[in-house]
Amino acid sequence: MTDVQADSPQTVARTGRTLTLDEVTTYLRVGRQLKPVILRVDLELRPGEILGLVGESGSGKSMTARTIAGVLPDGATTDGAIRLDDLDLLRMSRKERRAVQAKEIGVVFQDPRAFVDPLWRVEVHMTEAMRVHLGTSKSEATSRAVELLAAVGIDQPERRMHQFPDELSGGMLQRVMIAGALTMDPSVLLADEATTALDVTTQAEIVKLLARLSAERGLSVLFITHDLALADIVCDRVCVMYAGRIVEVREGRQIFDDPIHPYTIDLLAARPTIKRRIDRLPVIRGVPTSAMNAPSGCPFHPRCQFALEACTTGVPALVPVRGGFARCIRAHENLTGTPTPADAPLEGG
Amino acid sequence: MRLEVTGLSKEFRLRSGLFRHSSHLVAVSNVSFVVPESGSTAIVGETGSGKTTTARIVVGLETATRGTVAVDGTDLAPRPHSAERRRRARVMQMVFQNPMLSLDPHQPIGSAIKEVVVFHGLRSSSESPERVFELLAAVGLDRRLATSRPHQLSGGQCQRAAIARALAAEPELLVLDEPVSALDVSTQAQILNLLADLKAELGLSLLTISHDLALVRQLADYVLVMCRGEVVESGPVDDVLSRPQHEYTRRLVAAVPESMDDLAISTSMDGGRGTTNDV
Repeated sequence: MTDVQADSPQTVARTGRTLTLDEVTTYLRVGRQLKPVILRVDLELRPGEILGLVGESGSGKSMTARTIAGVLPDGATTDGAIRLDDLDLLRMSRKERRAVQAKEIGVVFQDPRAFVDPLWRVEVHMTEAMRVHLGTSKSEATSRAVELLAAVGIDQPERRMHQFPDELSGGMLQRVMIAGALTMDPSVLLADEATTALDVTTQAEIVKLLARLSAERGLSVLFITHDLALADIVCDRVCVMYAGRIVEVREGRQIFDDPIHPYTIDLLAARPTIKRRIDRLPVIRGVPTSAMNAPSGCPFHPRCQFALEACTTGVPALVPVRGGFARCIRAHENLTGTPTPADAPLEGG
Repeated sequence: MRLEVTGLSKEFRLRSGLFRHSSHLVAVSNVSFVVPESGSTAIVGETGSGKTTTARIVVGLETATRGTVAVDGTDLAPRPHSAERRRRARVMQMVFQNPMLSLDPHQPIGSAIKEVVVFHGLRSSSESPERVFELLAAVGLDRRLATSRPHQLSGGQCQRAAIARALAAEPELLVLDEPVSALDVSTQAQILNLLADLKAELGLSLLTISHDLALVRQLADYVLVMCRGEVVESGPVDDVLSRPQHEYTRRLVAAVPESMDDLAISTSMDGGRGTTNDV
């Protein structure tokens, strides 16, 4: 709160930093036990890159973001290393780590209305972090906030500063959230389902905004979503998660046409399309599982149409395949085809 | 059953300001459509388009300011205690977006289903437990789940239970308000297939409310596009989604991402969309 060596908030363009996760495992306390929610996650988020993290419920995508941002539930522990350039976050004191996370990592969540205080004007939301963490003067914080609101495409930013959240549309409020996350001039933005609660046309606008901010400011974006097709388009690289592990990593625009892991193949096949009615949608049997309830062997094997006996023992390694990586013992076999809906049992039991 | 909606309008009175100056919000304006016998019609639109209000009027959760809702040619004007009203309470059933919220968290799902069977007098109390098992089987749930409470089920199982509860009334029309958007992608397909099966087996008519054009393409034969309370375009789903005529429909179709370049949306402002009152 006193003198801060960090960059002045007025700095706009800057060189980004590389965020690295090295075999990160996070455990939550459940009763008297520690249960894993993400398992040995390796990630590298380069400056200016948009990296997609895709998965269903229980996949660990949000827990990965919360681990990076340091907002885990009480009693959670994390192993491995999280580095921002050469700063090793997990080896710092809690106080130092909090300072780095507050400064360098911005977070935007799914539902802006659940996240903002409805009694706070936009102004308070936008300036609080700067005032508390950087000790910025009120007038300076205000002018910086107005500048950022304009940068995320909000017209009449001075007027918006005096409005309350319920006076703004969902898309505009999400823009305010993004601007708020940028006030500390972070090098990394974690966007956790940041476009999911929005209407489709608004979603398209927010996605374009994130792409522009990443390009213009060298901001690294971790784009977390359940929507594989959206991630494929938006992201430079996409990581697919299942049961707390990364199961496939690909360059953008590859995964949709050429999925490698059976989970990715089936997930894409199960989506309805706007182009035509599919006589019967292929389904993935069963329900998604989380790391803490995962079966032994490959966590996807009970739902996998390509599973072999060998899949029930030992978790496969992430191996290089066709310019990407996949965690499947049959990754090199060029698996294709859609699951047969007729004999896919329903979830339940 | 055939549902015919004619000239439906709904205005909400808003009170604001010091002197309680009242104004009106036109949520639905002059909407007409038909769901044919065993047909499937969908309403698409974004937040504030009036699509959910329209569905709520159809099932009787809201009353219309103007217009009529007719079932098989009989107007279902909201006359309390009338036979038509009781009929509507049974033949049209609604399935909501989030089953975790629409089911009672304290009530086992078997009991929630049985309650509907008994309420409508469709089985005697001795026969109703067997009927509950039939309904669970019809939606692909194990009968052992009858004693489970909603939080013990997955999202997909919960939505199946909500559909079973709707089917318990032996409806002829299901009104589905965003039936899969709260579910995981891998379980959405299961529910969409289930709805298609039920429609075929039971001759159900479907009225689906959604913002998801791919879902509408999969589930509906006929589609209405609503914007700011009005129907801006309607027609067979193939025509409307393949060759959209109205500018708003084109924008909706264009916003379904196929590539980044397809996202032909200005990054500047929220554009011309919004509820009817934010002018």
